[in-house]
Amino acid sequence: MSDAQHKPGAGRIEGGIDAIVIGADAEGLTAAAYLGRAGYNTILLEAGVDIGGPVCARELCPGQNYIDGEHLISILDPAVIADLDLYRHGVSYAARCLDTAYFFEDGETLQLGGDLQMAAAAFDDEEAGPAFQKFITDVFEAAAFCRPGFEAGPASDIEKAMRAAPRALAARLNFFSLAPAQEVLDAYLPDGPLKAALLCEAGFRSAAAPHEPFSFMTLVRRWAGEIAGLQGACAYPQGGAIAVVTALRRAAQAAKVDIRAATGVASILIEQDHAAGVELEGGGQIRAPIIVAAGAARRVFMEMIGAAVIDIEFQRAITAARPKLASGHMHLALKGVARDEKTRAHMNRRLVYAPPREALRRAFADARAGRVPSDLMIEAVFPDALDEETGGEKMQLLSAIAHPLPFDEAPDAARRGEVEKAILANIEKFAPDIEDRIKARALRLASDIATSTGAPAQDYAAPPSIIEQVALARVASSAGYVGGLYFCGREARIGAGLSCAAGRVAAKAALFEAKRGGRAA
Amino acid sequence: MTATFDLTVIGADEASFSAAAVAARTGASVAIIRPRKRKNMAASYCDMPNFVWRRLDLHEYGLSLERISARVTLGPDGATVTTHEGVRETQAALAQEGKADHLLWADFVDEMTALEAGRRLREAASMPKNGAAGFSLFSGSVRDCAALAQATGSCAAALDDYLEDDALKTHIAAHALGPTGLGGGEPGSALALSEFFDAHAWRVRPDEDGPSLLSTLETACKDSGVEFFTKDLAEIAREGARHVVVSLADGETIKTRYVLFASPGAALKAGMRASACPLAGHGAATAVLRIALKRPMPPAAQDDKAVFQVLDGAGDLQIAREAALDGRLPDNLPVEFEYAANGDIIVRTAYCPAAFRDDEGWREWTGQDRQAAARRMIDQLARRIPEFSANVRKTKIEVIGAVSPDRPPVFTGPGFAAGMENIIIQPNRHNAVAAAVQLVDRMLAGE
Amino acid sequence: MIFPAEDMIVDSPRATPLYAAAASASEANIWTSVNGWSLARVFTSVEKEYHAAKNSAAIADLGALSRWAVRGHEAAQFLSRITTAPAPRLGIGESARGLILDGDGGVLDLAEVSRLSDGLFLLTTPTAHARRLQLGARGVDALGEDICEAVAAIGVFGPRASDVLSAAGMKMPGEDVAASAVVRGVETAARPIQFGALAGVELIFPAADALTIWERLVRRGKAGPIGLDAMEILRIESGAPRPGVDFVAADHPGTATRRTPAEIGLPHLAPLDRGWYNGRRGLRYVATQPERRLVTLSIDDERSMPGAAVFAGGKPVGRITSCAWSPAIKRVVAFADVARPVGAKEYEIAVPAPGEGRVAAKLYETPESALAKAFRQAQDAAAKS
Repeated sequence: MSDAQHKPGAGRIEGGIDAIVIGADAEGLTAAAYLGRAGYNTILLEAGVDIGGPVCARELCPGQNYIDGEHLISILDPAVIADLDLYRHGVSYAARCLDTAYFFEDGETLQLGGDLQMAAAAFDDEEAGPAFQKFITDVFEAAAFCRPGFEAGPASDIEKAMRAAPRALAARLNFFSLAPAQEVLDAYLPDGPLKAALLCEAGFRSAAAPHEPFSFMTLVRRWAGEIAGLQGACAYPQGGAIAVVTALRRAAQAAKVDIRAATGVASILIEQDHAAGVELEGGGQIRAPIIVAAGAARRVFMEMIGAAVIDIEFQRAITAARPKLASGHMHLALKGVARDEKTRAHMNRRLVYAPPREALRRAFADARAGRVPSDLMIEAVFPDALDEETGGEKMQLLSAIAHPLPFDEAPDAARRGEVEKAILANIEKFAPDIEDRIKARALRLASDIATSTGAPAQDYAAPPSIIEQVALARVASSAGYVGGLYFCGREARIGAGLSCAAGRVAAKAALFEAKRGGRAA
Repeated sequence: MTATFDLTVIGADEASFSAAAVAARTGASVAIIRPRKRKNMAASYCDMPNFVWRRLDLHEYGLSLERISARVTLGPDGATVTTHEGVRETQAALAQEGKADHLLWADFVDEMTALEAGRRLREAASMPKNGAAGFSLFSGSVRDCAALAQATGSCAAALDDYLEDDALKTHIAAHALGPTGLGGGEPGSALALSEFFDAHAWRVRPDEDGPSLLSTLETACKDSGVEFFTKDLAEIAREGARHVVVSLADGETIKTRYVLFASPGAALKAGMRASACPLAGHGAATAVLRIALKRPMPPAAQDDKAVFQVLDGAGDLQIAREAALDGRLPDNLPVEFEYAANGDIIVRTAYCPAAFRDDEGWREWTGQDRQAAARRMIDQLARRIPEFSANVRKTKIEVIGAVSPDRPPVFTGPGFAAGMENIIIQPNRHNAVAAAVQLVDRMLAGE
Repeated sequence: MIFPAEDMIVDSPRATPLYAAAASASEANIWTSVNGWSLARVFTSVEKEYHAAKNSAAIADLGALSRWAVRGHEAAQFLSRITTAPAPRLGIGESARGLILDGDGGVLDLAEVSRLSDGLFLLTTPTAHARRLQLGARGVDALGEDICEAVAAIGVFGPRASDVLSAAGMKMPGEDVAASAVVRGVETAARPIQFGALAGVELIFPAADALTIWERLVRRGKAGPIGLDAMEILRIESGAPRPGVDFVAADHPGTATRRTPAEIGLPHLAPLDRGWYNGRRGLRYVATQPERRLVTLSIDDERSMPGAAVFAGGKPVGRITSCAWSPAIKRVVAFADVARPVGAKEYEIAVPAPGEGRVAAKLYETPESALAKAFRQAQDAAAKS
């Protein structure tokens, strides 16, 4: 311990703290803000320098920044916005209900309004129109019903709701939760661009391919989201996704949360099977009866607590192999303002390139086998067009997510080149000749985002099927029965994208337990 | 003319006949619709559970049961892996082969069999009406959820987590996934493991020159008052809230409360897509080849009562699965074979494409495709059995589950999507007979 | 150490290294199978073997139990993760009993841990837990090796046990510590064990020397072999529940019943204030007052059978799980799984014969139940203060 004595704070024990939150990503900030608002003396510890986890602003080239991590929000928990007054803390939408333009291989396009219920009602096709309406009605109903299930909340609540489900809905939920997206869409919709577009949506940012079991739930999960009161919509916040994180940070600060960056946690102290505090990497202890951990389960339980003192069954569940698939983010700084009319018209939409069914299936097979697929799904936005405040005169930003890509722990330059080429080739399919206009580019793979947050790359791989995520989230949020420890890390989150529901649920559970146990602040 | 039945079973295999006979014996009125043409290519082994045997009193028909002696995988370079239904027997065999995994075998079999979450998933998938039961998966205890996470994962991940020996993993994957045509990397393919270890494969032997199991079950159906319709299916439609009307090719109609397709093959033939079960293995067809030999050969591994798989590595299953979904016949086709009582070899593979795809798009199976499939299956055997190709005298092939790309399915997914939740389609299963009979019991009990 | 339930389906049982010796000694020739190993139930007569063990000495083939050698830097932590035995606190040569629990605190098995040297432990369990040891070793620097196939094990029980060993030239270095040594050219480990209330020594040595050592104990030590049936009486008298008979392992396929340590009458083997073990946090969630308890009863009857209903205050409260005629107290001693009130002292047992009604039964204090009682009293006292 002689080494530790030289460091500031070594050997110091800090008390009088009610709650510690480990990890200052969106979920951690959410949990800390909730605890702070409840009057708990809360400390938020972040090992890295940046607050906000993977979501942060980076420079692409002089004069042009991009938002790393996420570029749209779709499943942000409405309860968090309301409870933490995020609108007051600065969240506003530059575009609250993004229309989507789908592009297909044969050059065809399809536009869907951001309000899917309205889009379905107005869908101009004799055969597909009514089918689409029935589909949206059925899926939206099921998605709204499932919402509590996607929050890893108390199991008893969901069970009660399930038992009360009408028989027809229960049968449908059963089909939706087990069947491949392809089967469900085939059962509802005639062949055509609409089906191809929805098939893509179902496979996007998930490791479950649309032709494989449980994959339809990916879409149900997305459509369980609600942005500005609109179910299944996508929004672009003023300033990008980072605006949400900034607002969360303000909310936490307003709730008197002590946010400490560059303060890594070495271990979680457990006394009598109850969390008692943390030991910091620089030495020193902070003691508190409530700990909320937002890191990856492996890191929290295997390293901060240690395999030797966690239950074998719990360890097996949280360390089980995850799918080897990932999404890739690409940010392009484009010279000048787009000239071709087609692109211009689409610029304040969400643009999706939807490969054909067969190509999509092969892409998943390739990615899983570690090859870079030639066809990729692309979701792209022009943040500058959506958000006029950030727009430059001479340059324009395009932010895209490509899926599915192989998951690489540490991709070499050749692999990066290959991925970049594949992504650009697929962007070209809806934005021809874009390559000539690229002034700067940034490819952000799972491993890059992981490096910037100090997490293992595996944390940013594509999540497994929703069913598996739900099951895993329930196991992970039990925190291995350690009293006073609440988990809202990767494994407790369901679905891809910024949600904050896990942070809310963890904080609420902590508050509930503390009140019940008489350990209130 | 419209006849009315409680249950209509569509299909002509062991599971269909067993389910129909059991339902008739419990007092239901039952019809069986089977296609006009029928080759007797069916498996000579199946899971014939005790409770079905008892309920149909099959011993009275002169049948006897014999255990499948072993499951054997013929790997590359003469390497074989053998397992038995008896756990200790297998452990001893694995220990003899010097596999470290023999110590884990008993625990592995126990854990896979006991994957309760898996059973609930499968039941939920084949019983759409009972949806709430399946969906309550969302609300299980922490322990249930851990099991569910495992069951919804892939077969490959489950094997990797447990075992070390690659040849053994290949062996288990081959036998567990073989009938489903899955690749092992799909979510939910871990269920095949729990089902494989849960089922007991029996070879049903008739008396000397007696009728086969299938004919016996047909007799049992007739004895129990099941009505047979040897006609093609034309259409299935809904009538009122509770009934389904099945129209036959000659215009005759059957009104019924429940329709059961005991195998996805029968459903596909009728233009219906199989169920939502993770083991359904959509997009693949099963080919069965019966090979008569010129002169008798010693059986592989000196055991004519075993079930054999020919596979180089577990990864080949996934490659074959992708090829089948691509509309191609896989190059390295995984095949299963066994010896019939008369010395013929019966070869099976579930890794054929449901339809073929070439430059012009999707097309149906042709006679040439059948021949090519037969040739490939023979080639696969010839890679393991010396001088095999030259010894083939006669072959007969049947393809189950081939679809016609031109003819759109009547409807896909579980029946409720078309407003007919009383139509039930079973996926490929190891314990098809048990599952079909249990389903029928629950259906008629009104669950 | 206790044998688990006999195998339901005898699936070609294997012969232990001592099978040949046991077979030639067996006059009764009644065999069974445990964990897939052949085991003699009776050699001469149950009563004779019982009395020999109680008053003189008896030797038993313990080869059907599952044994693991555990090595590694963190072997002690590994064992205290797998079992509730306090492995890190064991000195060299010491042994401790414990339980194997699942994450929810359900009992999977009994266990016994001995420390042979700094980095070498011996783990003995009634049934094998290969998967558990594989999983438990993940993230921990320890390795368990299954030594069942490689070794033979003989238990020597009874008041004359140490005389038998000396006569056979097998006297081990210490009287009450486990040790390994080379005895007459044979690498042997010996450790004190309890079989029920009987103290004894367990000898563990390479399978190849099995017959030599058995012969030496029989010829020079004049010890007679004891079969499973006589040991069963000793077991119930001592109050040791038998896995698969008196309780079902929590991970047994198809079981819906999970039993906590308190429910099988062994709360003292899994105290919550002992160092970390798998399932301790789960146990905290379980109600402190168990809903059921496994109790030992003495029954004023000679015909009681497992499965017979147990009554308390006229109401059915449970069933007999195992029982045996005890020649010592001339009564049937039995384990019974009873529901609340678990504290009742007087019971009645239904007698199987028609029209015979019920017979009286009383709680029977065994060495094990005395330990449990003392533990509960200490706990209650601690809770009050």
